[in-house]
Amino acid sequence: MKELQIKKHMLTAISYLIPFVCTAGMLMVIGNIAGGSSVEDFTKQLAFPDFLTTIGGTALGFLPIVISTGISYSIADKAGIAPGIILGLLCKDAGFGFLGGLISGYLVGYLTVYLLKVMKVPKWVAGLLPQLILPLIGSLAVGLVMKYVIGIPINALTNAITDLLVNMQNNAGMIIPFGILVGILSAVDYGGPINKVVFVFACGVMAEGIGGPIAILMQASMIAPFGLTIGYFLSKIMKKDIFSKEEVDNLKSAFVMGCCMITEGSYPIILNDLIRITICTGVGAGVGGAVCAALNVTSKVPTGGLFALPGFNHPQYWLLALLIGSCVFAVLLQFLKRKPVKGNVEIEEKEIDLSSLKIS
Amino acid sequence: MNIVGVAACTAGIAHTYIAKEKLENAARKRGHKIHMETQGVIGVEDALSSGEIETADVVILATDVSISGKERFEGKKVVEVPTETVVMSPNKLIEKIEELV
Repeated sequence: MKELQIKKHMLTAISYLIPFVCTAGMLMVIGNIAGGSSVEDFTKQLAFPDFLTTIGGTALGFLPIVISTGISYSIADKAGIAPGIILGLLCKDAGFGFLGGLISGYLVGYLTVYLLKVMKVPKWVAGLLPQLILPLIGSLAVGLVMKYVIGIPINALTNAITDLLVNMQNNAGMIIPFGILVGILSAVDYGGPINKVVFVFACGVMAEGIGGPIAILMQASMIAPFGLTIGYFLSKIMKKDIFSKEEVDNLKSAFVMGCCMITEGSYPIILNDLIRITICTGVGAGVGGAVCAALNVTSKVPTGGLFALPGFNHPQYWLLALLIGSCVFAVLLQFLKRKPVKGNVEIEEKEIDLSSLKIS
Repeated sequence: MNIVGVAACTAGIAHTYIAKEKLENAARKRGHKIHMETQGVIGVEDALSSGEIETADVVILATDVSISGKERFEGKKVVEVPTETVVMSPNKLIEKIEELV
């Protein structure tokens, strides 16, 4: 199983997906701000805002294709691109959605690599192998399997998740714990693998028209930079000396990046005191997630931070959730965070197990 | 030792560059020569030259995602770790690699 490197290929695909959703989301948001609406017939004369909204929305519908191609490319290199696109398109149009794209990407990627290894062909057709033969076999085989075998449980699963989430919307006893859970999971590893799993889930259900989880994830991703910023000003007011000069410098770029929903800018500060700050993040993001869920905030755009505001159904509630979560973070920070000791930048290294490390 | 390597994380914004810096500091502190290439969201930066790869004793790949140009390291001693390991414990990693090489 370890050789399959499932996580690595998923993360590679997500690294291709992020600029794609950012751009598509922004196009749609700019269109929405200008009062555009989605238009069916693209060939007609379009008002510019309608054009932006439509192209952004259409592009967001391409998520199954992007994830399928990304994974397939990561596994099988160039030979994976063509079948990845074709199968992603199948998943998009046959309603297998994001989850389907994910699975088809893995299947066709591994199949292509396997075929490349076992197929012994004469030299004069070797060039044809990645050009035609492998993409054709891959698309055909995996396409049929997707359509007639895997597609059925995927549709059932997608429907079940969708129904569950829709039902939850009307049930306060369920929706708030759900909000807390999504909030915490989205935030605690600051854009790491746990966050990306939630992101994949949230993108998947967003494609089915449920924008709640992604709205929670978006505010949770911004809790750390905003909470640190509010926490800094709060510490000034309370006259607590908990930020070093380097941290204050870092905070400026952390805040600006935070506005765009990039948590990574906060790393230098977080890494000084990982565990204590992560407690603040978890609690703050959980509270923010609960507020988001309770007020039924949903989003049509999966990323973009403050620039995605027009994509929310209730931007003011979403901001409220972010503010409450960040304030909780900031208050906790006053009690937990300590000022890094000067001159002692060499922090104790975490004990890790390197015994499995191999040289190949 | 002569060390070369590539750092690449998922978003390609932060971990990639933190890993590069931490590894370089840790290796230099122990008297090694090191050059890390980064493959962030912006693409390849500080690219390794073929001469550097040729003379390297070990290749460190601090990567969470598939990288481009992996075939350059064929036949070399390659160590693959997630960026997280490098960020958390760069010095221990270098020590361990000294043992292994």
